[in-house]
Amino acid sequence: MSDQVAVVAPANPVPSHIPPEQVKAFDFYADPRMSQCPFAATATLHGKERVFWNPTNWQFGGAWVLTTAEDIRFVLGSPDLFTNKGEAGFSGFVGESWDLIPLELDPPEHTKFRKLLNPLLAPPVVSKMAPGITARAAALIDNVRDRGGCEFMEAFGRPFPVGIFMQLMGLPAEQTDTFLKWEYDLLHDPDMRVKVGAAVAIRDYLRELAADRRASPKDDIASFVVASAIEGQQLTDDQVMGILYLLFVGGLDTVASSLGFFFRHLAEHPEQQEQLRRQPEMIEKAVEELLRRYSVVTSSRQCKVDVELGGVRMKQGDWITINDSLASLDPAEFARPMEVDFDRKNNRHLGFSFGPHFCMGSHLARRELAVALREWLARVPAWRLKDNAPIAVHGGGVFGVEHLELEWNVA
Amino acid sequence: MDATPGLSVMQIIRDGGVEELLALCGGCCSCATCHVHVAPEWFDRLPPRSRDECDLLDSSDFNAPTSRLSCQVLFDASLDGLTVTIAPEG
Repeated sequence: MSDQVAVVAPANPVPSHIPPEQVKAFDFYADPRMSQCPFAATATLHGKERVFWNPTNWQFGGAWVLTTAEDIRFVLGSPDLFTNKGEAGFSGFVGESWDLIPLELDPPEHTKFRKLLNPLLAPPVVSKMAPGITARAAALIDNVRDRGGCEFMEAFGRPFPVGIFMQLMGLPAEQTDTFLKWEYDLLHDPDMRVKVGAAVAIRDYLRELAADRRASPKDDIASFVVASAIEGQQLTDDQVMGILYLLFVGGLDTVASSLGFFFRHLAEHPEQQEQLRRQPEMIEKAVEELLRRYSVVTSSRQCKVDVELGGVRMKQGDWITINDSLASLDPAEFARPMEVDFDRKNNRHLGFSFGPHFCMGSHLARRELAVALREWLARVPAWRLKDNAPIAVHGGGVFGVEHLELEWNVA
Repeated sequence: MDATPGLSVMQIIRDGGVEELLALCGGCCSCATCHVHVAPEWFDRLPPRSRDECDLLDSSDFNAPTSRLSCQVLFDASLDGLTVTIAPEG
């Protein structure tokens, strides 16, 4: 193909039903541009092939990549044609076969579990949590405010959302670092042996947690899940594992990743930071726009039947990569997509995905992101990137920030 | 329920303190969790559904001839008295 893309992972053999002109390698993990800015890297895919076969996919040996918001919404909105079964595949890593619930279920099974779990993170719950969320943000900021700078991810980006989520789940705060390490290994490490090691550690831990909450229930989500029933049937051990596992991986680092990108953006755009400081009533809209500009999640779907889409013939069994940022940054849908515009109209971004699997934690995530911005802007003077300090960002299944040094003037 | 013209019916329901309406996506026609059944006498007075709205409603077990996503219905004075029922989840 004319526009050659840097390839790091070895390309796998291409299935015979896919013509060579539809093949293009793009490594969402290891392309060197991912460590500069993963969003700029994915955005280079726009305006070329609408759909292409990517042989570097580590998980399935190859997968179709959709580059337009329209096609991505079509696939996410058609669970009758495209299944979620096995999309993360974590149980396979540990030699088991349970589904992540509700993520790896299709309707109508999926619906039953969403009904059970939706209330756990619904607006009334989040409203009740709000004072605690604000207090946590304020305390973490006060730790560093007088120092004139910090490594943002360690000081705030990770501990703020992760602490809130661990409390909600019933996970012990003193093990935060261990959990984050497991999660990083599972989602971001390209080495399969490292992924498997993490998958096993999480499974073992959650099995113990479930047993403990069965024996002595507390006021947390883990206790709720082990005591739950659907249509009069107590959840099985596999179902309990599937739910806890999904909450664990879904809840730990998505907000942290978003915070890293949001705070880097505001450090690099002092005029926008100043606008929000002057007009805090704009923060909710700013959060939506930043969620669009920095949509961190990638997921997958598998064709249940042969489908023709975007000029290619997909065969039953083919996998499809759904990179949310490709939809959120689609120039066909958003004018000047790489530009952050707090006043953007019709901001139909894919930051929380689309359709039946729309993010269950979106209300909590939005609240955390807005509180983080509000408290930082109210308590810390204009922050900027520290001169000559390294910044570490990564691609992969959830785009993220590992290291971000900020500084500000101390009075 | 008091309603402000210019807001979506979803926002009006949520602002009115009804928390049964999940409205996960926040009103951008992405999730079908603000599904309502519109009273038949009101249904024809609403602007038609978009294709995306129809597709999302199709995924619900409770899709009915008068189903709407309430985030897609913009309230104005001509809709004073509008009656809707929140659809069951699913």
